[in-house]
Amino acid sequence: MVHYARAARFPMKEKDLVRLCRGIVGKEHATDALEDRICHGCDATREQALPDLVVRPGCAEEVGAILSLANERRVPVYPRGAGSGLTGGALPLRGGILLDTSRLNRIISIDPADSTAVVEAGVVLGEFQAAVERRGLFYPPDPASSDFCTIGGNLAECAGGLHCVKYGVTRDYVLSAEAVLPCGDIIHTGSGTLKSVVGYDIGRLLIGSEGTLCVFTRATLRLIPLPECVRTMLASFRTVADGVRAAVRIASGPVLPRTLEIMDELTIRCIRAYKPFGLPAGAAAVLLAESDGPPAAAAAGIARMAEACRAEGAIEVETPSDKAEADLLWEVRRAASPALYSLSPRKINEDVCVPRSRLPSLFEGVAGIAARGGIAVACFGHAGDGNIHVNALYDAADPDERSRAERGIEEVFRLVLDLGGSISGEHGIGTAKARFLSWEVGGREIALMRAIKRLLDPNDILNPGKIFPDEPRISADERGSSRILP
Amino acid sequence: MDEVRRELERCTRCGKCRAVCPTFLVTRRETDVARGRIALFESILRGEAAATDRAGEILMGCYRCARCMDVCPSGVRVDMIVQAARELLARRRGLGPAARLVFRGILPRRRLYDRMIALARVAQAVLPSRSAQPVRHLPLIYGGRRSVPRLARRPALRTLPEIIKGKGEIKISLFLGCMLNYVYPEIAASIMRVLDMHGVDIILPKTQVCCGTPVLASGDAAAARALARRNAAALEADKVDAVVFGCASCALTVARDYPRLLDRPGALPDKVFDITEFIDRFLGYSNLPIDETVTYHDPCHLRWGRGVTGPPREVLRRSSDYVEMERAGDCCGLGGSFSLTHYDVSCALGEAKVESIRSSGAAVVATACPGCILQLQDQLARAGLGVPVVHAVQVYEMSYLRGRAGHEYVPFDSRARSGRSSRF
Repeated sequence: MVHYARAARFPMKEKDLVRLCRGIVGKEHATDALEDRICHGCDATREQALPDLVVRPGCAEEVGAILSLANERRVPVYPRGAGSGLTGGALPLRGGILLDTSRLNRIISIDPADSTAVVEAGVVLGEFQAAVERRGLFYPPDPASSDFCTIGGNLAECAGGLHCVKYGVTRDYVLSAEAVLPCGDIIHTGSGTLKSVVGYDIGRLLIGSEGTLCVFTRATLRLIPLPECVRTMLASFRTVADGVRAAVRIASGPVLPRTLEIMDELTIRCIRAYKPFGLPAGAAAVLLAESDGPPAAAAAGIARMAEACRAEGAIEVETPSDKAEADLLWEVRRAASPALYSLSPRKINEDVCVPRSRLPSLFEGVAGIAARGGIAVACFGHAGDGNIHVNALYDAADPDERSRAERGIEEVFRLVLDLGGSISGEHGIGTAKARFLSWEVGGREIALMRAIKRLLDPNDILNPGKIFPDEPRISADERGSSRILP
Repeated sequence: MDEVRRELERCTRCGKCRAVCPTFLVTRRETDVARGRIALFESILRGEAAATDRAGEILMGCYRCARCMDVCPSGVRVDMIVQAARELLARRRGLGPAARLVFRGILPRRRLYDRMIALARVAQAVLPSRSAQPVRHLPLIYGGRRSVPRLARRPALRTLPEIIKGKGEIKISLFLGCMLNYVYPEIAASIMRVLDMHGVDIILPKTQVCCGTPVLASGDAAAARALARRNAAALEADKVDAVVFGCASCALTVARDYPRLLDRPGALPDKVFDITEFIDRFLGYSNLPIDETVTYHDPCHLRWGRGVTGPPREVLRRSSDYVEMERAGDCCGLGGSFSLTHYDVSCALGEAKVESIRSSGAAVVATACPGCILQLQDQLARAGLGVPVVHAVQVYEMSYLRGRAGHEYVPFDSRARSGRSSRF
């Protein structure tokens, strides 16, 4: 879908906006050239919107000055890291300023003694991880986009990934953050120490706020020792139910896996068609698990996991001790996404999360929804977290198929909520899921969220149109009101 | 165009190209990566944006290295999209008069081309050399900033024999391309000697012209088609088993673009062999490795364009004390005329490559594309690192001669003097 038509272009009453922005960031870092605006108007949702300006600040003070100017002129501002988000967080839906953080790309310091690092928001996650790993340290959050996504975007979306089952998500690694509020003020959350309970935990509020409350410019991140050894296991099952039960059994101990990924039958079929990996015939589910630690511990861990799989009726379990062979097993998982694309160029990729013990009901329920709706649904993802990527495949040229896929996904959301789950484990709400916010979050809680947004961003200039459906225009009355809850 | 639209549709905008795109990794701008370029081209096709100067800058700013295609989860043919975009730009904006003259007037005419190069050589001789290496400024084109080797006194196509009779087992056509012909004739000669040493029947068609790479890069499909037709006629005049290339870019253009340009899925593309592929596949290894540490740089058009990584390494491993360099597959930064218009980006990439070469500790760096050789020589000279840059075939030739000590190989040019070669 193209937003050009419906995105009311920001009325450029003030022609001097480009000039003012250039005054702040330098001539070459702010532009209103149509071609540049088009290039910056997309993200991984494949939606396209058009900002009025693209501004590339080089430091927090410049971000502050831009926001202060925008707030004064009531111009929307959209922070954008790598534009790798899957829910539209970086889309400049209402025109205004697209704030590209790519120039904030310095790793300021890596401190092995304190196991912390200070980085700017535009640093690419993969480049940062490589830098800390060279010093024997580990920064575990690893979304699939780690080769190109930015740390700032990770904070804004509270990125997860494969390692979360053992190591947690982005918010668990942010000790302190430098952020710019919509009014242009620069704040620092937390203290940078491993423990701190002084005042409200503003960091936790801002992390995962999808660029609606602040623009992150810098973070102090917690690092842990790089595990000495990683062992890998691939187990195949005759039925999805067997695989899911094995996953639940592995995740409940006694050894917490470093990763625990599951792939369902359709995913496996796509992978096979894409590239034959020698997956056993008749496999309807595959589990890929890792155990890490000192070599003996990693080996013992993987042996326990293999045992759990056999106990649940695995048809084949591989536990290579050779790193090259283990990498080959990961090729299977890495092929999942391209393999699905080769079957169907379009998919609705949801990332629901349920309590782990409910995974069997989730897979069963999704299979029923797919069968009833006549939709191809491929499920794979982070079984250890109960966080499953439900991919409804459709042909973009067939509007009927698309609407069936959309209806199917709605049913999946209802199922997930019935199971006590969450409609988004990792990707966030953005624009893609705004209309489902109230399915999961209660009226009072939404009102509180809106009130917080209003408090920090009374003019609704920062990433408007995200998270909340149809953000109502805020009247001067409301802004002046001290009443937070309705 | 339908095919191009299908490819455009397949891009999901995931942004993964940002992880590998050489221009993006230098500038970190969305305008310098496949995703941004694709978004812009789509907008132009929809009529929302025009073929402006800025659009030209963005769409001409791609190295066409095909690296993004290697990581793209959807397997989008970015090369095809960029090509279509440039052809559209060329149609809507027209080519400059200089480009028109070169593409349509000079490149198809061998004698005129030879004369222009001879003129450029005279101009080049007037300026002093920047370094001890045999590199000189080429003021006409390069604005005096970049060092390039001295243009050859006599083009390879004028000095090398057209036909060398071999053992009658395998017969090939040799395609040189402009760089080997005018800048590195010694590499062309080395390729010919290596083939001759093994008794390959060689035809070097003298009617071959520029393969069309720079012409396509500028979006002039009509001129590229004219060149493709001449080359197809030249290379297919005799029935050969393979067409051998010493230039990765020429080989990619013939293998990838000629079917479309000639409007037939020809036998020609199937016969394309890089010289290292040909050695590895057909010539056996009767050589004795030389005692030099040699490292290898992957030309983008060989590795990312045609997926060839093994044969050049195998040839070098069997011919020398081979060491792999870090990030061997990263672009050297030349990208044809890109390095003229974006010398700063070109140098940033070149400097990273020089670091890889330095830390490999190798005494010699080999590659398989004269364009890369040109860039590496310039960048190593800038960095003051005295590592010679050679074509992999030259390393193979040295090792072959070493393996034949006592059984002296008589090069075809000496044989020619003693009347053994038919035409010279």
